[in-house]
Amino acid sequence: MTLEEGCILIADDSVTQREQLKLILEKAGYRISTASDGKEAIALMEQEKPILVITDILMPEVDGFGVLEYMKNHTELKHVPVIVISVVEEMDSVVRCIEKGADDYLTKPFNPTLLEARITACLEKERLHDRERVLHRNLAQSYEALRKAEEAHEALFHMIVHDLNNPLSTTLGAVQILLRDAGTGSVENKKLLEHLQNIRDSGAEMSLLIRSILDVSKLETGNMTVFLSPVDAVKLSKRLCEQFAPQAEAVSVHLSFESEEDSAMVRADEELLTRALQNLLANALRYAWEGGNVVCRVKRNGDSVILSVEDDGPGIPPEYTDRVFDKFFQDTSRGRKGRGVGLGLTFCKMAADAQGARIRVESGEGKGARFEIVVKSMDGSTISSSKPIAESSLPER
Amino acid sequence: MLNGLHTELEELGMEESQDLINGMREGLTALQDDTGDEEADFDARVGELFRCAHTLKGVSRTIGLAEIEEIAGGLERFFKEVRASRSAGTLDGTLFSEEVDNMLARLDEAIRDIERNQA
Repeated sequence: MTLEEGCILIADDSVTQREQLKLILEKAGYRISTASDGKEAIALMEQEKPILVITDILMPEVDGFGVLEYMKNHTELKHVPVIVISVVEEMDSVVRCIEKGADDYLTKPFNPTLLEARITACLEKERLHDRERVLHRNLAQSYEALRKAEEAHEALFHMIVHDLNNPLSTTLGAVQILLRDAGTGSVENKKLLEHLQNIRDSGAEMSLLIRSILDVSKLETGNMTVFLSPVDAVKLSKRLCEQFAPQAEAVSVHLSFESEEDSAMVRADEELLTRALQNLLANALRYAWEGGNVVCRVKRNGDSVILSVEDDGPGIPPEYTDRVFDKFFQDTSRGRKGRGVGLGLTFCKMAADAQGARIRVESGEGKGARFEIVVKSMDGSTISSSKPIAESSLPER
Repeated sequence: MLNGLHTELEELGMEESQDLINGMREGLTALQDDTGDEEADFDARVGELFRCAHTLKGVSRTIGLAEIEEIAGGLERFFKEVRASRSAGTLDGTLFSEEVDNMLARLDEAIRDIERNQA
C-alpha cells in the first residue's frame, strides 16, 4: 500500500458515516479531511486540492450534485476523481451523479476491502491520465520545435539555392566568354577587365552570403567571440567605400563618403563592424537605381557615433520596416531586383547587438532607405587606458 | 461489515441516531407551529425531515440496527408522499402530525430497547 501525499476529502452529513470512512481509510494509510456538507467540502477543496473526493448525495447547504458541478467547473478540480456514496434505493440519483461526472459509486453498508479497491483503482486511473496529459503536452511542444526547425531549414535551403545561383551564373558566364575569346585570340583588354571584375564581384557576393550564414549561426549559438576595442569609424567607413567603388561604378551608382571629422573613435569589434557596414553597402548598391546615389556618413550624436548608409532607391514599404532585420525576410514584391541576401541584414543586427550597438532603418515607399549603426564613442583620453575586451557574443535580446 | 467490530463507532451511531430523532421531533413541532400557508416553507421543512430520516436510515444501516433502519425508511417514504399530496392539495395536516408522532415514538422505543440490551 503506497502512502499518498495528498488527502482524501469525505463529505457526508452523518458523523457516523464520516467516522467509519475515516477509520477504514486512515488504516489504509491515507490522510483524510472531512466536511459535513457540500458548502464546507467546497471551502476545503479551495484550500487544498484533494486527490480523491468521497461524497454523500443528500446533504444540507450544497448537495452531492452541487459538489460535482463545482468541481467540473474548475480546471484544478476537474480531474479529481469522485466516488459517490449512497443507498441502493436511490440508484437513479447515483446515475445522475455519474452522468454529472462522478467516477464511481459505493452503497452502504460498505465492505472495507471493496472500498479500498475502488479507491486504488480511481487513483491509478487518475495517475495514468496525468501522465498522458504531460506526455501529450511534451509531444506537442516537440512537434512545434521540430516544425520550426524544418521551416528554418527550408528557408535556408531556398535562400542558398536562390542567392548563390545568380552570382555563380554570372561568374560562369564571364569565364565562358573569356575562354571562348581567349581560344580565338580575340580578347580585348577592356572586355577582359570587365569580365574579370564581374567574376570578382560575383565571387565577393557569394563569399559575403556564405559568411553571413556562418556568422548568423555562430552569433545565434553564442560561439562568436567579440573583441571590443577602440576603432576609428571614419577610417573604417572611408576604407570600405573605396573598396566598393569599383562595384558602384559597375552598376552606375554614385557612391560617396561624408564626414565632418577626420577621425571618430568608437568602442566596437572591428571585424564585426566592418562586415556589418559591408553588408549595408552591398545592399544599398543592389537597391539603388542606375544613376542613383549611395551615401556613407559618419556623424557624431551626443556620446554616440552614427555610421549610416543611405540610398535613394525604391525604399522599403512601411509595413516591412519592422521586419527587415528578421531572419530570412524576403520582400518578394521587388521583382527582379527583389531581395536576396536574406541574412545580410539579420547579420547586421546581430553584429550590432553583440557589440552593444544599435541598428535602425528609416525608409518610406519610393523614398530610399537609410540604415544607421549607432555605436558608443570613445574619446581620445580613454584610448590608452582601454584594453580589448573579449566576450562571448550571445546577443542580448 | 462493521457490526460489533468497533463499539465506539456503534456508540457514535446511536448518539447520532438520537440526535436525528430529536431533530425530526423539533422539525415537526416547527411545522405544526407554522401559521403561514407558504408552500415554500412547508416544502423546505418537510425536505429537512426527509433528509433526517434518510440520514438516520443510512446510519442505522451502517451500524446494523435493523429495526431503526426499517422505521426510518418508512418515515422517509412518508415524507416523500406528504410532499406529493401537499402539492395535490390532499394533505390532512392533523393526520400527518399524528403519523409522524407515532413513528418517532416507535423510534424512541427502539433505541431504548437497544440500550437496554447493551447494558
